[in-house]
Amino acid sequence: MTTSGQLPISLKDTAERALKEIFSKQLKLSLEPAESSDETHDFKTFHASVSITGDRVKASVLLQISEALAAKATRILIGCEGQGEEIEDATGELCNMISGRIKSELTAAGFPGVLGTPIITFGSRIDLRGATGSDLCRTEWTCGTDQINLQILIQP
Amino acid sequence: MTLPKILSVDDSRTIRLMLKRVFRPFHCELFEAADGMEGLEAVITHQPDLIMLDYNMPVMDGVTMLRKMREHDNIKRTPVIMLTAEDSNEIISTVARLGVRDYIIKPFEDEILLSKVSRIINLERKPETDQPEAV
Repeated sequence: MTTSGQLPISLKDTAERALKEIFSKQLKLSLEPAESSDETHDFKTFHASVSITGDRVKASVLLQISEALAAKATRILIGCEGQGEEIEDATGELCNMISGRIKSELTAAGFPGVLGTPIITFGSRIDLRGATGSDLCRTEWTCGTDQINLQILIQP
Repeated sequence: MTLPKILSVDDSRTIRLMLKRVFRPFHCELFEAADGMEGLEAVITHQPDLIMLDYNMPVMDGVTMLRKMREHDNIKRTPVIMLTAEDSNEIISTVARLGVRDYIIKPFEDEILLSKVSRIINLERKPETDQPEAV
């Protein structure tokens, strides 16, 4: 889903490029696009969010992945089984990398900003909601049998 | 044999553990710091041969740490590779002026990182049967 604001770039394309680059280059995992459904809202996920803040932009990037995928990604990144905090930190680092790529495209489009520190929580799925005039993009993906949700919200 | 010493300065524990995994097959000593302030203390204490440095960190960011290092004669020439998700031209220009030797933007591939590190320090691979945890 994408709401229409004043950005000169497609947030959906930006989200796709960023997510695919990090998953292919850093994790060597491939992604397939998926449709949003009621089922995607039922599972518990890790939520990692990073802010991008500048004079002309105030954005939030939210990555939601299942516990199983977070554990798998952690194992790939650090080379051994991760425990609680390591899995949380790895999920935050993935979101940080994705946000870095998104920030780069926003900067190229004339909206420079700086990255915030990742915030990680766990629970039912969250859907970002923006005020009138905001740009919001929600994308759904699968990685094998695991679900991934990436959302970008640009506040007016 | 004197092992090359590498200092990883990053607030992300994941990145520090990733570097531990990447360097595990090689003879080297790996030290860690979670922000620029800790990093500065670690540089003075351990006198590393190479620093892998993040930009965005709490307490003290990577650029401030670089500026502080330049104030100390005994560490101001320590080679630094930036390893960061930050790719703004302004920051790249700033750290280049501060003498940073190379710049790696996350995500990174192990081979590229090792190639850049090998241009600065001599990384000798351990025999395949001899790869305990990195120091």
